[in-house]
Amino acid sequence: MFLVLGIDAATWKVIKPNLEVLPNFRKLLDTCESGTIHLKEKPYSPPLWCGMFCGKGSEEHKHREYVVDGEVQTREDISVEFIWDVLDKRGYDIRALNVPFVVSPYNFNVEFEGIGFGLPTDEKEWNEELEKITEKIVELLKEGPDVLIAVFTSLDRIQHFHWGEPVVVEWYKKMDKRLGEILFETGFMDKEGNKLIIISDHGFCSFGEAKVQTLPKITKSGIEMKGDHHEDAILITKNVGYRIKRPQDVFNALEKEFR
Amino acid sequence: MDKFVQRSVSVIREAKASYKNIGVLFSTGKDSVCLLDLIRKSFPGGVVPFKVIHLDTGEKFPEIYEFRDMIAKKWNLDMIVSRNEEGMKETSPDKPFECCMKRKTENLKKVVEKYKFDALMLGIRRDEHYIRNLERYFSPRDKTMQWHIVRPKTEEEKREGDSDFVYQQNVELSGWNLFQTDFLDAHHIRIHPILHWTEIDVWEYVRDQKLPINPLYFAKNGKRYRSLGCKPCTKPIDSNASTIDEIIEELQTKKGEEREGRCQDKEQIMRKLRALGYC
Repeated sequence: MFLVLGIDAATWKVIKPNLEVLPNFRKLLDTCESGTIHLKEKPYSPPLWCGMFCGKGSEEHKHREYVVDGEVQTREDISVEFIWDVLDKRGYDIRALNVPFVVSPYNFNVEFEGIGFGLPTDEKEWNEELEKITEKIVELLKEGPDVLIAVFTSLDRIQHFHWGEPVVVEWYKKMDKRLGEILFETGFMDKEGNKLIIISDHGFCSFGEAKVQTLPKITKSGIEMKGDHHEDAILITKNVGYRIKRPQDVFNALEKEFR
Repeated sequence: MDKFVQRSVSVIREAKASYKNIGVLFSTGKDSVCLLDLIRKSFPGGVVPFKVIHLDTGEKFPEIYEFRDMIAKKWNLDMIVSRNEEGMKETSPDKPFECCMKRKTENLKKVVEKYKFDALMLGIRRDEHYIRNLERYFSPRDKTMQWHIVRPKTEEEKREGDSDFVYQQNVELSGWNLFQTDFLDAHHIRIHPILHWTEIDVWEYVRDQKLPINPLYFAKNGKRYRSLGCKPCTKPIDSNASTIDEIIEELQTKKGEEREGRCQDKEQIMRKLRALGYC
């Protein structure tokens, strides 16, 4: 089985200095290959998640924003084939859960409703997302598809709102616990031949440090943004032959594996 | 004439003087009926000197089509009924986002391109939906039909203690009927003559001017439509208001948003995206 776990906005800046309290990240770093993806393009989530699973850069897939011309964009507005379309045609059982290149996030052969339409914005929704997505992944792993792609989005909003505060590490600890449930408690990591990619679409940094401004400093609902996107994304892989140097290589790795 | 009607008439006349080819969007709803009536009152002979556009999604209530044709005949409108036939084949109301995109947004883009409109007049109001609070009477759209009221400052432009945003549009001195109508690089301009009206203002105007109105607004069997959209995505509200006076009385006491009967998911997603600053 090939599992791709996306963690929107996960950054080594938080993970590496806190490995003592993130035991599952630590285990992964000890047993898997890991690295940093230095984005060449601007670290905006919609084109990056889109490119990751269609194998094309934003110049080609042309999907750059959640809303165009006042209308929420959907899968149908993006004229490219995604990896699930390709592998499904080839007869593989591929599932995609909560992929946030559109709002609400996209699902393929999975029944799921994104928490807060895929934009969880408070503690209740962040907890709910971590819980529900973990539950769904564990359920899907039992069904044994050839490929499962699933994405958590909460860390992005948490870091936008709380970057630089101790609470960020607390949420990474919760994420770490969920990784433990998905990867170690299910036995996924013990099964020989299972393949894994854990990847973020971009990293994070303080609001003033960021080269892009993805959200206004003060939103219309009065929330102050303390952090914004950085070009360095995380990558952890196990048993993946293809060398992933950019987000689009996730598509290439899967496509090559299931030729 | 009430001051708030005077302002609408000023905006309409200013628009006529400023743009060569204006299209008026007509949904058949109460706001667009008021807008057409105001246009008729703004020019000699009671005519509407603009093309009137009805975006037909193929999914409207039969009463909407009947009302549209009746008004077009009664007021001698030069009406364009536009359907995105290709988009209608590709989408179904089961997928409301895609459906709206193809049948409304793309449809409108095609009309604007085909008839080369340099301005569109719409009957939107600030109180209708909180995201319309920022709108102006004259509002530029770029070639992708997007509105950019602010942009982030460059590093060179930033000053400590000052806003991090540059407002791209001047404040309108609407109290003095002074409006900016020229916008560099605008693809077209949106004009909103009844922006300052409330829902109750609209109903009072409809009553006082004895305007024809779509029967769907009046209660039957304890339900009525407060806002008219496409049939699959619009639900009636609980109401016993079967006259305009009863509707006004209901609005004075009722809580809830005007568009509460519209497709909630889409409204909520947009609200969330806007609240976070994604659009």
